Formats: sequence, structure tokens, C-alpha cells
Amino acid sequence: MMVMQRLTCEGIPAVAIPTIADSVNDTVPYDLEAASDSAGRVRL
Amino acid sequence: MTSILVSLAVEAELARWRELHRLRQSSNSAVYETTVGCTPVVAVLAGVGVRRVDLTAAPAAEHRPGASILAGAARAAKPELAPGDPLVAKPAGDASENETAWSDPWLVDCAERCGAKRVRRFVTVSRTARIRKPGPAWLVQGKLPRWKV
Repeated sequence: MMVMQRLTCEGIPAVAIPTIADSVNDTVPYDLEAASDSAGRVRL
Repeated sequence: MTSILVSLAVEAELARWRELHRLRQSSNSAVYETTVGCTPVVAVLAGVGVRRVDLTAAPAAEHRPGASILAGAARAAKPELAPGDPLVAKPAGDASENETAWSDPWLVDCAERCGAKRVRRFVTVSRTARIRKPGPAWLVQGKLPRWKV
């Protein structure tokens, strides 16, 4: 998002074209349990 | 001739480019040059976050491309989106929708005509928790799924 804003500000037309790498059914590859405390809040 | 700049985040995203095109590494180790048809293409392996902004802006200022493509990997938010699907949307923003960037409308239309699936918007996140080994298949294999176009 910041890259697009920067390029646009500099007068360079920009478009984001990502490719799907993980479907909605794939297991989230991030260990969210390890990032949360016993109350389920994100541990900072 | 006017060039096109492609900004990629990680090496796995550049792997398909290495297969398809002869990339010449410039004096800046993160910048690669090639031609697609008759069009010069500058590919930048720019990393993520604020670093990606600076590493993309520098070659953009040098080459002054006629268009730039921010490519990379995305996670599907809907079941109809499958690995290998290229996507395009006009707005991209954070989950709160407080801050939004906009893709160039003409380039969005071009991408859609070339086979990218139009979605309502992209959502970016500023941070992630740590990755559980071994990570997603595409990351382990070192390359993204092939485009379906």
C-alpha cells in the first residue's frame, strides 16, 4: 500500500496484482496460538 | 522505450521470473533487468514493509517506468479464489479502511482484460506472528503457484 502511494505521488502509474498462494481452506501458516495469551489476547 | 517496473517482496516470488526470462542483475543487487517482447522490464526484489517502499522508489526514480506492477503472494479471503489466481482491485488498504491506496484505473482494466480476477479490495496487514515450520508449500518449494492465466 505504501509502495503504491509513493509511486503514485511520483507520477508513476501503479497496479497491485498479487497471486493467490494459499486458499481460504489452507491452514493459516502463522502460529497464532503462540502469539496469544491465556485470555486469547495477542501478546505484545 | 518506456519500461515497466515490477516490485516483488521475496525470492520465491522472483523464481518464476527466473524460469521465464533471462534476468540481468544490475549494479544494485536487488534490481534485475530483462525484456518481455519488446518492452524493457525492471524487476525489483524489494522485501517487505518500509524497506520495500525505498527499494522500489529508487529504481523507479532512475528508470521512470511508464507503469509499475506490485506483484507477490496473497492469501484468499473467499473460497472461489484458488492458488494461482492473479487478482486485481482498485483500492488497497488496512483492515480498518482508514488508509487506502488506489491502483491506476487503466492498469486495473488492462489486468482484468488479461485474465486477472477482479476483487473488491485488497487488505494488507502490518505485522504477522511467527511462521510455524515448515510453512506454506509455495514457500518451502521456493516458488509461487503458476499463474492460471
